[in-house]
Amino acid sequence: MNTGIMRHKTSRTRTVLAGGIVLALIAGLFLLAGCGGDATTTTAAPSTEATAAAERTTATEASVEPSGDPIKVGVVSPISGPGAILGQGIVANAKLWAEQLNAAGGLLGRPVELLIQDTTTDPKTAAEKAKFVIGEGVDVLTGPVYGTEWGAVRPVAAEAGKILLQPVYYHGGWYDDLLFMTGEVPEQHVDKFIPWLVENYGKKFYFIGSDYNYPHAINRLAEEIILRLGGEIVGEEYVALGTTDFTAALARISKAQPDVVFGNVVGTDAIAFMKQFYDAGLNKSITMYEPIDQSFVSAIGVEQVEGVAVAQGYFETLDTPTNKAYVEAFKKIEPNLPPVDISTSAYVALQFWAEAVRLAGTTDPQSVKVKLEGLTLTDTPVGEVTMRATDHHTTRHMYIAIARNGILEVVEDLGVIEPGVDQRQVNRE
Amino acid sequence: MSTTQLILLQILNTGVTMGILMLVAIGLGIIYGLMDVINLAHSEFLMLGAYGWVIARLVGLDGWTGLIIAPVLVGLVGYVIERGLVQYLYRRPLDSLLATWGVSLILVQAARIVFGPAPQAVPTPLEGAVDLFGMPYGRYRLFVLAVSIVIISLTLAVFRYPTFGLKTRAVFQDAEMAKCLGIRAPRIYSTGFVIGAALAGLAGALVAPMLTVAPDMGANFLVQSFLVVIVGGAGSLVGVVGGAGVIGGIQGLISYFSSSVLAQVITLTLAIIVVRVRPRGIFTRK
Repeated sequence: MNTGIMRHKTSRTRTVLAGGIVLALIAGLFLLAGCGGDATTTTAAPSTEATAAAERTTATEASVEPSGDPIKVGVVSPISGPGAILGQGIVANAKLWAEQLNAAGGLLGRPVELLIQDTTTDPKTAAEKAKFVIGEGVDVLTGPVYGTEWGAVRPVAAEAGKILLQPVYYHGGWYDDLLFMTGEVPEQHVDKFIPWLVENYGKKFYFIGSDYNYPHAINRLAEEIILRLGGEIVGEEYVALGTTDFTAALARISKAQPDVVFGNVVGTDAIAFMKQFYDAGLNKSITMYEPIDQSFVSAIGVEQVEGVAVAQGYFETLDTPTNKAYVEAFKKIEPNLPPVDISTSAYVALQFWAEAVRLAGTTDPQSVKVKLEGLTLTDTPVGEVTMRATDHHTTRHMYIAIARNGILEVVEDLGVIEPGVDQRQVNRE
Repeated sequence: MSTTQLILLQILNTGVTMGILMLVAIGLGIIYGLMDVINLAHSEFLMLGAYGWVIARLVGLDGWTGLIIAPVLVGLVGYVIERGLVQYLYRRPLDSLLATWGVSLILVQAARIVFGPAPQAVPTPLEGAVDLFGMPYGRYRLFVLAVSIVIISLTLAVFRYPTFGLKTRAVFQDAEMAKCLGIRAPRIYSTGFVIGAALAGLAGALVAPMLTVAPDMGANFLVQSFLVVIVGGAGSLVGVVGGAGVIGGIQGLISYFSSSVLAQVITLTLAIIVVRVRPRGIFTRK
């Protein structure tokens, strides 16, 4: 319609416009980089609490009153920002853990005090908050979610010689002297699950994932197993993080007609992908795997998610007395969030640490480390878990759940699975 | 499905993407073109529009109300932001850039606190598919395509024909001269800002059933709509519409024939080339 409108504009304005784009791009990339580090598909339902920037909780209802100086535990979590979905779940689990511990007489007879800090899902802030809680005298830290946050917190904890508990499932290969992982690695997701998919649904697989290290890593492992079982990969593609339109990929999937879509599209992209998969009618003939959890189901829609198969180390619907008691206690602390794989793994990580402190009789990181290595917890919400001495990863149960009427129902316990051969030999950065 | 059908399908889908992109980018173009304000909070208007569905559900309204609530609500928010902040930043692109970035952060975190950090589902208001050239195509997608075409045509007409359009274009071309001739420029600015915000809100409400509603959903659209304004040229609405066509079209085609990652690389490269060769955009005459 109009021409020459910019005639009066100076070159300065244009420079600034260009600056705007750069800033917008940086902001965009920043957000995406957040997802980029790790598997972060899991989300949790809304929570209105725990948004204060710095919050201290001392759970002190005790039947056997703990006494003496409190043992401080650092929870440096994204309570605000994009990571809040998981960060708030981790914080709730830490609160539950502390409350239960203090109610049972504390740790080494002393009360446990959580130092909860908000990373705002920002790596730099995460590092600062980690330094802050270390300055306050903690011997153990946990809480970050995104790979970028872990990247910032790991050196801080390592330098200070503190134990760092990492509950987020990720691409594998991390190892520090005092770093302990309770989340799963890709080997655990595929080792028994892929054969199960082949047996139940068929041999033709289509790989689609967000374009960062985790999907690439898990697909290489999955491919090996599929080919060994005589199956084939009829398509493999990666979508840019932040993709909202999956129609091109869906057209290719529809053309390839696989038996199983092995999806590792993460974050809210996964929701768009699964919705559009359903809208295109592909769910009728193709089974989909996506690493989603219960809180995702309501965001996708009951019908849209029906029949999706998921393998993870924890589901809320696990039918064990320990898990039922845990879920009930968790809901009292945080009624708006379902407990999910990542946040429950944080609870398990803290249980590991408390047990090791009991065995060591001290919170001194080096002494606790010795006790943590090779430690087995027989009765946790996720089942029996062992902290492997060599590489500090956990041998744990994997479960398969299928979405039925909006609930991820556990259909099979795949049993205890090792976290690969040795994560210290793995390089997937 | 034959190859022709697949290509046809992809053309329709690209049309949907382009429509949404145009709705978002037009506002960005108007706001920049009129008042030299680079609005980094623009994508948050889209996000708030998507929450229109959630709000409609919370207050117990069903069906299509979310789609109507969204532009009205976001228009109001836009008005408040314009009066409260942006009016002090006319012709100060750099300051407006930083200020609106702040607004964007505030809006995202506010949404997170009010609605919770988790993404929420929006059921598709139009279920099912129609038969189009022998293949099923989602009714809702066709609806989005139709609405975008109608609204964009209406917007172009509003800025072209009535007195308001004439005055706006006068301010577009030379604000000082327009003011001398008795045009109340501030009023044009406010109206332009509100229209831009409302269009982004509508775009948000339109995409929500195909994607999801989440506090940080806006970011995905911000970069793209900036690219549209760069490639098309901020100087005119036709430029913005053309830019959306080029960006949306290239992305649609390349992600179909290759991958979405390559599509991103190519659109960014194109933007760099355009900035170098035709700094005023492909569709703005020199």
